[in-house]
Amino acid sequence: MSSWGARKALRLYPARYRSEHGDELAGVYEDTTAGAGPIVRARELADLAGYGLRLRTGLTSGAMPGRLLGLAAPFAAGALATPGLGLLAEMALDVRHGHALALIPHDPRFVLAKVAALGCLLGAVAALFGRWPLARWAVAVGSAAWLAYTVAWIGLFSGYRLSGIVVELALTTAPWMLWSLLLLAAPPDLHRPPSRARTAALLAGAALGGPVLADVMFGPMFFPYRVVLWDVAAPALMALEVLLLVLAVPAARRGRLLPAAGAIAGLPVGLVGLVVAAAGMLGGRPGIALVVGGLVVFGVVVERLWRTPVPELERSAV
Amino acid sequence: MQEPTLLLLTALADAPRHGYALILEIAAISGGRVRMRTGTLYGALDRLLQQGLVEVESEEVVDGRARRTYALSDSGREVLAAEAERLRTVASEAERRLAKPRPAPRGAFARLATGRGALGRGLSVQGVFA
Repeated sequence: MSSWGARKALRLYPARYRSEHGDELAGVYEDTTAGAGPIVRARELADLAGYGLRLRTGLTSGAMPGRLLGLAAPFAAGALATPGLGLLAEMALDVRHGHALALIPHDPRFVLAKVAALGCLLGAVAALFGRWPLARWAVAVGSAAWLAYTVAWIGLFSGYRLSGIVVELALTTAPWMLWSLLLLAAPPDLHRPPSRARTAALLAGAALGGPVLADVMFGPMFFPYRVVLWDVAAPALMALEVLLLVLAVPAARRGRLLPAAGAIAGLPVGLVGLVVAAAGMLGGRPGIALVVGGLVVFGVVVERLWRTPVPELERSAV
Repeated sequence: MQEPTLLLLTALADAPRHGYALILEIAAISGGRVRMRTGTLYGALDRLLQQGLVEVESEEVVDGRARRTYALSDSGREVLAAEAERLRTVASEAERRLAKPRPAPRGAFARLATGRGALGRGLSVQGVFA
C-alpha cells in the first residue's frame, strides 16, 4: 500500500503512464523512503511529482516541448546575463567617480534589483561553464527577486490601477520571467557540457535578447540607446522572429529543430516588440488586435510543432 | 556522456536490475556520492529506453506490485564500452603525464625558489624594490 503523498504525486502523471508504471514507481518510492526522515521523504516526493508534471506537460527530453526548450535554454541564460553586466558597469562607474556610497542602496527595493541582476549573471556564467544545477538555482533566485521588485513598485502605484506605469512595469518584467521560466522548464538531462553550439547560443542570447532586459533596468537613463533599440534593433529582431516562425514547422518535420527553438527563444523579444509597435503605431483597439493576432499565430505554430514527430535523440546527447 | 547516464549504464552492465536495485547500485558505484531519486531515475530510464540503450528484461509481480527488470541492450553495451575506452585513454594519459618529473622553474622565480635570488641572499623585500 503506497503512502498518501505518493498516491497524490502519482495523480500528476498521465493516466496511461500511471497505469503502466504507477505501481512500480510507488514501490521504488516506498523502498527508497523506508525509515527516512521527513526532509528526505519530502525531497523524494517532490522529485516524483516533478517527473509526473514533466511527463504531463511534455517537458522531458523525449518530447518536442522539452527538446525545444533544451535547445533554447542557453540563449535564455545569455539574455538573462545582461542586466547583471549593466549593473556591474554602473557600479564600476560609481566607484570610478568616487560615489562608492551609491553601492549601498538606501531603498530595500534596489537591493532586490541588485540581487536579481547579479543572480541571473551568476546563472549565465554557471551555464557557460556547464554548471547547470547552479545556473538553475541562481536564475530562480534572481528572477524571484526581480518579480518581488516589480510587485513592490506596482504596489507603490496601486492607486493608479492599469495606469501606464503599471502596464509598463508588467510589460518590462514579462521577457525576464519568460526567459527564466524557459530555462527552468528545460529538461535537466538536456543541459549538456559546454560546446561551441551552446556557447554560441548563449552569446547570441546576450547580444540579441539581452538589450531588451538591459532596457528594462537602464533604459530611461540611456535615451539614445533606447531609440536605437526600439526603432532599429527591435523591428529587425521581430522580422527575424517572423522568419523563424515561418521556418519552424517545415524544418521540424525534416528533423531540424533549430528554427523552432530560435522562435521560442526569441518570443520574449517578439512579444515586447509587438506590443511596443502596436501601441506606438496603432494604439487602442487596433493595437490590441495586432498583439492578440500575433499571439494566435504563435500559438498555431506551437500547436503544430507539438504534433510534429520528435526526431531521435542522438546518442551523444546522453 | 553525463555522469548519471554513465552510472546508470554501468549499474546495468553486469546484470539486469529493477528500479530500487539500480538506485542502490548507483550509490555503491559512486561511493555514495550520487543518490538518484525515483523521478530522476525513471526520467533517465525512459530516455534510455527510447534511445534503445536499455530494454525491459522482464516484468513480474512481487508482493502484489508490478516490477520491471531493466537490462543493457546490445547498442547500450557498445555505447558504454566506447565511453569506458574514452575515459581509459584520458586516465592513462593523465597518469603518464603525472609520472613525468616536474620541470624545474626557470628565470627569476627559479632563483627565488632555490635561494640564489636577491631574497635568498638575505636582502629584504624593500631592498629588492628600492
